[in-house]
Amino acid sequence: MSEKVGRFTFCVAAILENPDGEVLLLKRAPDNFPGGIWDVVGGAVEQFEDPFVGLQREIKEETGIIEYLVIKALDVFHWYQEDPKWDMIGLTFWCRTKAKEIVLSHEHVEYKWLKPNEALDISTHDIVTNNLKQFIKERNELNSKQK
Amino acid sequence: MKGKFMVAVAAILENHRGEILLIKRSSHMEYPDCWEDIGGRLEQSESPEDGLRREIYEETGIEDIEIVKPLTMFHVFRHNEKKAENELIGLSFWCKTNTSEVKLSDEHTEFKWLHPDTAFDLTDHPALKRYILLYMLEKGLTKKRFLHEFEENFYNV
Repeated sequence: MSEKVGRFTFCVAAILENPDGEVLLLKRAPDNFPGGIWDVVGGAVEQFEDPFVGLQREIKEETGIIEYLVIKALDVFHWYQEDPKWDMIGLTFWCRTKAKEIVLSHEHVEYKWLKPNEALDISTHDIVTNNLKQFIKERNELNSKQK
Repeated sequence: MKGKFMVAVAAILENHRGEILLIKRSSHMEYPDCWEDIGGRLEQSESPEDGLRREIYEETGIEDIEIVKPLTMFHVFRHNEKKAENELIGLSFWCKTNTSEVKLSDEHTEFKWLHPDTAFDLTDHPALKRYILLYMLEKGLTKKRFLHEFEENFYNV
């Protein structure tokens, strides 16, 4: 049994929502594989790092945002390529922030605050598209509960 | 630097009466006689959803499973030893089944379908208490925040 236990890269990601109900997408730099796509905020957890701390670190590194609230978990994803040493699993959270100003890192070249449906329209990556669909579903459920 | 982790998947498994399943660990295992949720570690190249279905089947014999949604993630070092090879990140999911009949493996000796409040009181496991609370919040069963860890990581909407 235990010899079959896998080892994985673990990613944490955030759909950041602003008070206008827009979500943040970042365009990956050409040399940042998969380059050029519109992505959610996030990245790999480091060894010995708590994953919630990893989420905080990635949000700060990629956007400069320090203040946000985690609303809930949205979507688990995995990305397996030919060589299992690249096996990656991740979890995306819905987060809210009042921060307007974004400071990009060298990993991204552009950012956009978009209505969720506009974000879906420009997404070309399955994982990002699924994250956004799950966000829209959960947000609609929360809105209908609060009415 | 990216880390390498074992990944575990765990289920808050709900039946048609809105009860959730807890199972009791065998006395010959680590953490003997503790009540826990269902779950285990993923194999290499196994998807989290496949791993979750496999673990639920191995530990309970239940095959009809609807995976509703993920609840949260957790972080532990196995055997309480802070080494990279012991480092594990877990994902807990809310799942539903129409089956109430349970066939335990030899890793467990007892099972109970419990109201989430009762399950919360029965377990001593802080992480499990947290998933039960998140599950209850998702179901609209409570608006209270009880736990420090919970307040740290989640905002109650």
